[in-house]
Amino acid sequence: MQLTYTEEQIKQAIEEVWQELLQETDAENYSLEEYLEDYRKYWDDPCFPNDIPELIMRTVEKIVGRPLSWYCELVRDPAGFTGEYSFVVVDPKTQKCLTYREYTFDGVNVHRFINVAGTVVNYEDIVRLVTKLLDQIQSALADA
Amino acid sequence: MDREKVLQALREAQAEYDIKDLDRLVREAWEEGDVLYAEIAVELIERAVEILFNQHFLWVHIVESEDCEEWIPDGWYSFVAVHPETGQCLTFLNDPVCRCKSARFRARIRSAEDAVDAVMRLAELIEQNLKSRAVE
Repeated sequence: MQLTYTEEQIKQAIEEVWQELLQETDAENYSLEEYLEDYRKYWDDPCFPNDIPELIMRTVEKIVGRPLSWYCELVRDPAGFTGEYSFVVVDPKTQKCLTYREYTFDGVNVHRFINVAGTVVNYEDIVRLVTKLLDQIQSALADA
Repeated sequence: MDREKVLQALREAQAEYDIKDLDRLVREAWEEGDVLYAEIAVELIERAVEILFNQHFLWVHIVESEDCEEWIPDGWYSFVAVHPETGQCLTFLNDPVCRCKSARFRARIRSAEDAVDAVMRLAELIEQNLKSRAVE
């Protein structure tokens, strides 16, 4: 399966998903920019960080064209939420973990990861993380 | 899943982690809100499952918290297990009743008995997923 996406399409999908989320919560005229400003001020409040995974994964699903099973961890350290999100994405049709990848640092030892993570502070970070997830999913679907 | 085998696997995992009293570890993890104890408890459960299958898996786990700001464990845990060779998600659950396809196994673990139950249910889910893959 070949996915096609450009940065412009990703940005368009993010905006569409944001509007869908607003409609679902009956929140009017709350732009993503305003939200992200509030998010940066109040990210210790769980309400704010919890919206980000939904926005990111619904955007990914919109571009992939079907629902995926996914789970997201809000990464914390002793000081609290770090701003980092760690996603595990699974294809519900095949049960294949789409965020599974192998990597070698030295050409000998193979390290295996099942998550894709990234820090979100601003809009560009969201675009970057969506792109990172799509690149990984594209590669996993191509291997299937 | 045979309960006696589960108990034996938990005992072996406890020995590896040098945990004498599982019930105390699990209870203090949520009664005292101790993140470190909760992390040890969750790793011990994963290890017990690996002992049952005599195989390593790739894991992601979440120590859940009611209070996100303070991050105090509330006795709920989520697990995602992936097969290291095939990349198959072994905690995948397709629930036709609630039309839910979930990648994670979730359990409330607040006592040693809960831990035994969690290992048993988690191992059963993994076994079921391994079999379904074998059928394909």
